Amino acid sequence: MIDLPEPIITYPSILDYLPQRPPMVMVDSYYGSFNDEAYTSLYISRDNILLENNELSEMGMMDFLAQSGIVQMGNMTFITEFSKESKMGVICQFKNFKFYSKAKVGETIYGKVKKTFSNETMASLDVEAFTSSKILLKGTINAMIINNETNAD
Amino acid sequence: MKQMLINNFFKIKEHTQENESTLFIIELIKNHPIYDGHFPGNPIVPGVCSIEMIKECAEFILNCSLYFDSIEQCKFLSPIDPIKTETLTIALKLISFNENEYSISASIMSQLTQCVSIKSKAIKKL
Repeated sequence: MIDLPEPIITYPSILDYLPQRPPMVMVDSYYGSFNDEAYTSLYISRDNILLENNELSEMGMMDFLAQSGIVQMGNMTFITEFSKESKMGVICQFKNFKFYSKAKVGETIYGKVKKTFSNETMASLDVEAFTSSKILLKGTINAMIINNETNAD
Repeated sequence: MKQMLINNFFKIKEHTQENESTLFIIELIKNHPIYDGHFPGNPIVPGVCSIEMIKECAEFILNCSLYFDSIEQCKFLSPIDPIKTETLTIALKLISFNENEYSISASIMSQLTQCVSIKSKAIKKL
């Protein structure tokens, strides 16, 4: 669907952008932002805690997109420098999510995050999960931007 | 019918049904490994687990497996701390479009605080 370069952030460095820790980390790579669209991915391992019948569950796909949004918002705020403080996104709403398909253990799923609105306190992101051959899930995530004063480590 | 969260992430303590609405009293299981990562030292019920608990309550009523077709809207209004929260109430309204398709509207309450609300459509697994 898209030729992505090598990721610019991988596991475990991606933990700097997420409050989640194993076994609830659902993004392992960030590829950067191209034409306002950022890309992430997750290799679905056999020990993923959100598997169901050897597939990433609906919960897993939704959390993958939510965490993709959080990673992108972290980068957004770092890049645009709203302030010198580290910031993080907190998901407050899923909207117009449509489920198309699922991915199996051993596959890599990709996330596309497109910012449609943002100010200093809120952001709206159009998100999409897909594999190399099919679309899995599309929707919109609304998030609040908060100061990340505590280190999740 | 095997479900992902019921009886290992939460338990249904009571349920009462009136027409299309059902009220569930549920208990969270505090030592689930999900909380090791969400978040270390500060456990919070993941929003996606709230959505799955609602779907599994709908499956409990229908006695069949469902998958989501769509989520029109899901609002995360207040975080749920499984340590401080003894029980939650799930108010769920199921409307059947046809034999296999259902509208699920629900909210999760912790005492008087609304934590999650959702409007969605699910389809029976055949």
